Amino acid sequence: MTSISVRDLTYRYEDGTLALDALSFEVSEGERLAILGPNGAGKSTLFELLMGLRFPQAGSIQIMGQDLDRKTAGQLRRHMGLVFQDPDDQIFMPRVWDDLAFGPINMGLGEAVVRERVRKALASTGLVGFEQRAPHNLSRGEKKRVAIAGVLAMEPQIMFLDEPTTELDLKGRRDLIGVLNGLHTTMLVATHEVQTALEITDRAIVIDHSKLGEGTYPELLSNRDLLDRASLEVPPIPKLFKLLEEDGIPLGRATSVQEAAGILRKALLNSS
Amino acid sequence: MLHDALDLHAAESRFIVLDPRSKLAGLLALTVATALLTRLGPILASLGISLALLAASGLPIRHTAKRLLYIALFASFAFVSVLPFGGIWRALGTLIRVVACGAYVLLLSSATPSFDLVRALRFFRFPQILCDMLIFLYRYLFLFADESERMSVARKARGFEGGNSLFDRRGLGVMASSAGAVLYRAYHRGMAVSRALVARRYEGKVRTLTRFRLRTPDLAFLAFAGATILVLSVLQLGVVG
Repeated sequence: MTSISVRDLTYRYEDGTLALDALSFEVSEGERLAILGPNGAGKSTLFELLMGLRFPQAGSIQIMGQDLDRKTAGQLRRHMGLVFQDPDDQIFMPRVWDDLAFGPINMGLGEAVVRERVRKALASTGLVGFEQRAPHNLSRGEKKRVAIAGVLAMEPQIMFLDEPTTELDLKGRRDLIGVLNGLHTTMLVATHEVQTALEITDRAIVIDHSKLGEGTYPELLSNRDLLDRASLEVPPIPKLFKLLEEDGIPLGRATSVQEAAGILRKALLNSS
Repeated sequence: MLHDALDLHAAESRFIVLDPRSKLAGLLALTVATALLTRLGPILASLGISLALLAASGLPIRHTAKRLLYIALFASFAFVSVLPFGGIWRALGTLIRVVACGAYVLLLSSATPSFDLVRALRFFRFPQILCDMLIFLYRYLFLFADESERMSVARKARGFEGGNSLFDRRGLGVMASSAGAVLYRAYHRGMAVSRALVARRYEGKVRTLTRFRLRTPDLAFLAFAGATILVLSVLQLGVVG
């Protein structure tokens, strides 16, 4: 079943600057899709359009088979959650617990359900013990987790994550990717980091205002021209395997350290 | 940071255990009662009580002394205004009354987290729209303070040291541009906050599940406030002394 269907989406900002130009793509239910592109490519705007926070000048968006417009946006938002790039934009309440409960309360859920959802969101993001903390005093990584937990507590069927790992240190990034990989929702991740996209999603579309390409990672990473046009860098592991292939050692394609270790282990065992 | 300054000491205060509603009712009643006093004796008594409460609250002396000084400076304007036609005792009474009222309000605002204070206001039927506006003001003040701080750091990082004198025309120009930029950036971040709220199904009312509970210390505090008001009234009416 198709979760999201975008057709010829075009959006201009109030000052006339073109943000998105005739963008089309589809996302299936449960799929994880990365929106790859350089800074200023229109990724955040695309998410705001998909959430019904802005409305396009041309084109259409369907969420779970229903047209997204000014009339249906409120209802459709029930099924979607957006984690903003800057957690300071998103965190509103003075205590972590209250911020996590903010969305579920707005959804009109009963107290017992709200408490249970907050408990689950705290547990799945490793924030147990942070309930009474003031969000302003948390680290960037902790704030990101609060922002994600706030959306998780709403139990959306579709999640949008805008640059989820930006500004995080190595541990914060690793923890966050672990949290995201433990979720089972349809997920769209906007990022300019190919490595992040590789670790969280199954395939990607590359945009720079309009769509430049779409496909699985082996397809995208072998398209040097596409990556150059989108100012994207091939992560070290695929780059290493590509170089080995060019040197006449075709080992296949690896996108992660684990995959690379498996391929190299097999190759070394076969050669010895 | 502003948010540190706003709610930093609330948790440290001994009065944090009190229900925000009892603090609001008790201290506001004391403030109103003090504002209505005209005789110097009960005014001085109220000042003594307000300072004793501040001392008992456990708030840092530096924090309270600094703010009391600001209140006293403000009160000195009242003193100067009343002095020419009211005489020294009346002016002094006004000065002390303003400081006493300010001390009660200072205790209320310093010993209660801002958000809880707004919720307590709502309990007393303060209009919802005004409560929500206060919550938004609280949130947006942080944005504004953050942006101001960033701009200040950016100016200093590029060697700017001016803007301290009215004769420093270039410095004042830079400060004016910075102020404009801060407003512009705060506006854009404000829009982002607004979109984030809508994304989490905010529909015009900030709600929370945290409940207030009146307990024995609250009743004791309310009884103390009531008794104090009674004694001040008796002193004011001249029934005693």
